[in-house]
Amino acid sequence: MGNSKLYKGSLTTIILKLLETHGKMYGYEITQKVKEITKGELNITEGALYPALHKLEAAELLDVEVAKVGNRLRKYYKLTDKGSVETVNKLKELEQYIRNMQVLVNPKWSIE
Amino acid sequence: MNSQSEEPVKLTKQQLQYIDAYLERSGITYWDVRTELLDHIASAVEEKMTTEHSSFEAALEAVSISFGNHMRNGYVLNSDNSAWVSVGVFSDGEGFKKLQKEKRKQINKKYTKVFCKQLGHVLLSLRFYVEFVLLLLLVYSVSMYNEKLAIGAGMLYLFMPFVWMLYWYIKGEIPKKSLHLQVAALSLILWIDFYGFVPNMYEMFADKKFSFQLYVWSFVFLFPLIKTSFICYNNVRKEYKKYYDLISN
Repeated sequence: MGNSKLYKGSLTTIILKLLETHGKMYGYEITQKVKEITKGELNITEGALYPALHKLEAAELLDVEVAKVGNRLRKYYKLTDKGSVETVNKLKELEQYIRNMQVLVNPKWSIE
Repeated sequence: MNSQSEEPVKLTKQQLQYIDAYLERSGITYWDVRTELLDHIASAVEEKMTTEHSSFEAALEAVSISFGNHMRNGYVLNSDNSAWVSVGVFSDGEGFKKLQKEKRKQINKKYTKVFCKQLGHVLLSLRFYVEFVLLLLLVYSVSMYNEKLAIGAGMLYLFMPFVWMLYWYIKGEIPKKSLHLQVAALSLILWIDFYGFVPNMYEMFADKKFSFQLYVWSFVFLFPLIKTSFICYNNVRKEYKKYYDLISN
């Protein structure tokens, strides 16, 4: 369940939402936070996380900040202004999608 | 009873160096790519060593697999080349290499956008027009005496950024093996190739068909592009030099 393909299309929205809530985060922290919030149900793989982060960075939705932590460098990701606007749009899209799916899967649940 | 064992594990400098070398052996040759992966792998290994009480090697293997790598048995020939001897398990690095490839693609996209924005800034700056007029004046004044010499002087002016790059390289101000810097430098190198795309351009310079005007037009076209690429490259160089110094110290 945790690695279902159903989540794949929502990965960028999940990342954007987490960054909106927590400010800046580093890669490993994102995977752990998702695991923690979903109580281990959803597991973001590294092979999916980093291409998504790099894509968001290239699209200028994320900005990076590098800091030395202990003996190593840590790359933090944070939302740009464009990223904050995109987060709102993506969340709206996702809500709409969930609502539509509910109507399709269980029409009795539909609320006007 | 568990207070001792729940103490978070922190990797030593040697263990971090081991992971770094492990990534390099797995095909991650660029230090700026390794830096990000190293932090993730080290954090995950520390977590596994703390919560699951795994050994360093077992934790590293598990984390490596989570990146999409496959573990393979390694063999080497014995001293008299008569048999294969097992040298243990190693990662094929496929997952890491896939990430590096994907990252290169995204850096390329990012820098193309940065280039377009920077070109706009350059075309709106007074400094650009001063330098541009200086180039044309240089070519025009030398051409009064010798047209080929004027083209040579123009080329030197045009490709001055490469002199700076050589200077920084000698001074050690260009971090080696950086994917970001390599992608940023590629757009600069592309402009040198421009003359290679024009058929017989080099021969035209040497023989009777030499067209002074054609070269001057190439300067007009290339100057803003080379200048913009150089500014972008220099910004990336400064940024990654700063990061490189951070890990080196």
